[in-house]
Amino acid sequence: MRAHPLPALLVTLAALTGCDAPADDPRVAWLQSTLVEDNRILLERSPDAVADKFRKMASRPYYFFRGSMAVFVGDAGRPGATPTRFGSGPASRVLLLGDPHPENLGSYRPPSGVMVFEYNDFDGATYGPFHQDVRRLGLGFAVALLEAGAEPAVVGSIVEAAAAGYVAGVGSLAAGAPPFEVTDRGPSGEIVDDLLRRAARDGHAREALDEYTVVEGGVRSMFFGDVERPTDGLINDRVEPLEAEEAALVRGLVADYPATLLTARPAGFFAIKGISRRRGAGVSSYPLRRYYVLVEGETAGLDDDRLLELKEVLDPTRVAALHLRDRAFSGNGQRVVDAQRRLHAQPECDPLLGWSAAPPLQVRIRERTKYQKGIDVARIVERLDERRWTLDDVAQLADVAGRLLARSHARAETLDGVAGLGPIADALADDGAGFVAETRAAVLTELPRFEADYAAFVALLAEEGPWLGYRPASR
Amino acid sequence: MAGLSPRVPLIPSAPRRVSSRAAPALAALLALSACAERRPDPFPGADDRAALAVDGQVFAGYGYQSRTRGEGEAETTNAFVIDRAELGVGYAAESGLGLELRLEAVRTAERGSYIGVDGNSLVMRVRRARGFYSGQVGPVGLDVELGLVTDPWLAALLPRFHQRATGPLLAEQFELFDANELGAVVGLRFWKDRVTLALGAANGEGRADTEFNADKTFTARLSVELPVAEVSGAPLRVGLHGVARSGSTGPEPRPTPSDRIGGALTVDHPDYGLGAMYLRATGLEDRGDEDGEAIELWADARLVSEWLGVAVRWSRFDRRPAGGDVAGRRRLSAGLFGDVHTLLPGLSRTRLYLLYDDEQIDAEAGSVPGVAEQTTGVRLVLEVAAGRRF
Repeated sequence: MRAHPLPALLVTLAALTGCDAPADDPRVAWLQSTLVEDNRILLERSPDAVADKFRKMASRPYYFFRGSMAVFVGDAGRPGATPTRFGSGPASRVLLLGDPHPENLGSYRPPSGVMVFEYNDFDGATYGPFHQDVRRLGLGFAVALLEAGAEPAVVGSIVEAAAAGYVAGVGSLAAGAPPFEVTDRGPSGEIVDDLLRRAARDGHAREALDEYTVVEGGVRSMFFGDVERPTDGLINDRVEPLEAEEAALVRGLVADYPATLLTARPAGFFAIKGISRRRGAGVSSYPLRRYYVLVEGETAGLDDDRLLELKEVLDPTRVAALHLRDRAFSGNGQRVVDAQRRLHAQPECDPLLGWSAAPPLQVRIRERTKYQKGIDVARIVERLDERRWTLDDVAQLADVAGRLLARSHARAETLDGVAGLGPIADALADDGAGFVAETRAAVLTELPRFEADYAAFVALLAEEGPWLGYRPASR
Repeated sequence: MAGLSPRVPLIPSAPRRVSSRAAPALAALLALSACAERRPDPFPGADDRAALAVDGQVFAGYGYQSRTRGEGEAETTNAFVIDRAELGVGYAAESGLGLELRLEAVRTAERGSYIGVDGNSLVMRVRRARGFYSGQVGPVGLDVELGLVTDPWLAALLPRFHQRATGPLLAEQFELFDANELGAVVGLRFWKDRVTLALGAANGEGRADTEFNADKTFTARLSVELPVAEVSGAPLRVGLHGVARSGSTGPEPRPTPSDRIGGALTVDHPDYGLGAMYLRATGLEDRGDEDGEAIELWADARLVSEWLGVAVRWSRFDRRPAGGDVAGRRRLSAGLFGDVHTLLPGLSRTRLYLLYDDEQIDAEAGSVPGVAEQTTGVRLVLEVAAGRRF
């Protein structure tokens, strides 16, 4: 097995498609409409940022996967989708992560100081059928392995590992075992251990503060500019100053946020020392507003300054046709924070996690620290290519991801107010092997369609322009 | 208008003969109705000239529902609901020209959404906003509408469908036709309005979206409706209706086809209603590769004066995804109703329904593919309408 250089993959795909998306293919039309609809609000608000998002999605299959959740959900709920034998009413009202995949796994440093490995993106959290999250996770691994040039049989085995991890996680909890946790206190596989090790090192070095702030004359202030150079014109990591009006908005958001913390902080902790706007982060969330705020911390000294990240949150991609209770959350900021606290083993994995709102803007707030570092699929592909990591390491990561997902689903309350474990265990009904096989089959059915969608998307961008044929009102 | 069918005159009064001099104004006022071609009830008034009309309508109720998915336990809900609340104002001049603005109250957060305008309260939005002309060109009646209009197919069926308060027609529920769309409709009436031809052109995206593509959605409807008997002093009309639509939604250059063809039989009388409708759809929602087939039957009759009636409706909607199995859902709704507006003077219609509902959704059509759904429930629905002409 050998990793494909990404530009070569793109060229190959373009050649395969002839840079021509079939005009009469209803699937292509649906794909185009779905992506336009999914980005409609942002296409009107920030057309250039959405154009960059689409370019980023086109640059790698995995980025397309991350930016096309609406396509996945649309397919999952349509008549004719791969059905499940493991569905039931109660098991359809489980608190889902919404978008679990390898790059939404990462490290945290809770107050105990012990590094932990958890899911780290809850923007898509909503209620729905548990099997959808497992399939999304499986597809994430499959696309990652697609980038690594893996054979279908290998892809299938890794998907199986994730689903089997899920089944084992549910079984273990049902048998009364303590909740599954991954920490830096024990080996958890090469990939996880590598991440936790680097996160502890960089977090301890306060690398995030060094990157996004500067100290001059004994005063720490915001850095403005490119932290990482743009690639092919795409912003990777840029921080910019704010106009006065926007800065005032951010100050208001920060002022309201301490009340949403689980543990109160001393007066003056959140005194603002600087604000910047971050551009270039994420894929799906690329056009969303993201701010960095430098606050005082426990003392007036420079060493305990904290950097907060405020990230805009929109509605999650709706699980089609599921009639779920309205207003299960008070707003999107509260939704993602509440979901994270309930889906994590420790509610205070991220001690500064909270939310704020200045309607219609809703934000999730967390500490921006390198203790929080995410899995990078490109790094996995690179290490596989260099033979420093093996497919067994990836399988081990998949197993861990499946177990963490099972624990998250099982412990959080469903819409019915009970822990998810019971409904999920009932739905699996001692046929874990059947669930694993069904998940594998569903993902392997989905994968060729995903590849075709990606090729069509690349062609569509070339043919239809930066907004996939949509014309923002401002243009 | 859809909210006030000709069975529901703005001001209840005894029918009276209409002078030929007053005909244009009368026609214009009736054109406030979405079914402009119908002339069953004379519109009351002092001089039948220029007039301003105001009307409102509310569907409110309480329902208990039990939904089962797969082998799981039933999920029960009970809730007070407002399915519809509308307020319309229209002005028609003697020339036949007129305007209508109709507002409706809606919940702002959709199911599964977490943010509504103003904290998820009911807010008002425009349901219909149109200018119209209704007149006579020689032997041919002419109706023209422009603005936010109702699709010609729904405009024809809704006034003949007496049970709208119990739920929308399949054609409306699954957006096979748009109840509200930016466009224009031209209607021609022949043979004392017994034959009508309506041609509509609209954006195709529905009210919620701006136009995505240059293509327009064209709808043609032909209706033949004849009074076949006099029952209880009122004509019993039997109508045959056919429709064809060529439409598209979604962005260029691959708009999704949204074509329809269908027909309906209606029997219409103040005390009785009967209908059968068949529709075939090519392209559903944003899926150009899905076909659909809708069948809907309904019947209602007053049994004991206005105090007690019976209403039944049944529908089946099948989706056929490309290369997939048919995914169907069936719904039965049956119950009793009573028209109690005589207890509340000033209201043109006050009807109370007590209904039993049963909906079966195939596993393929369920919200979780592979898991069948069944929903049963009991509903109490109050329909209130009132209007006044100035």
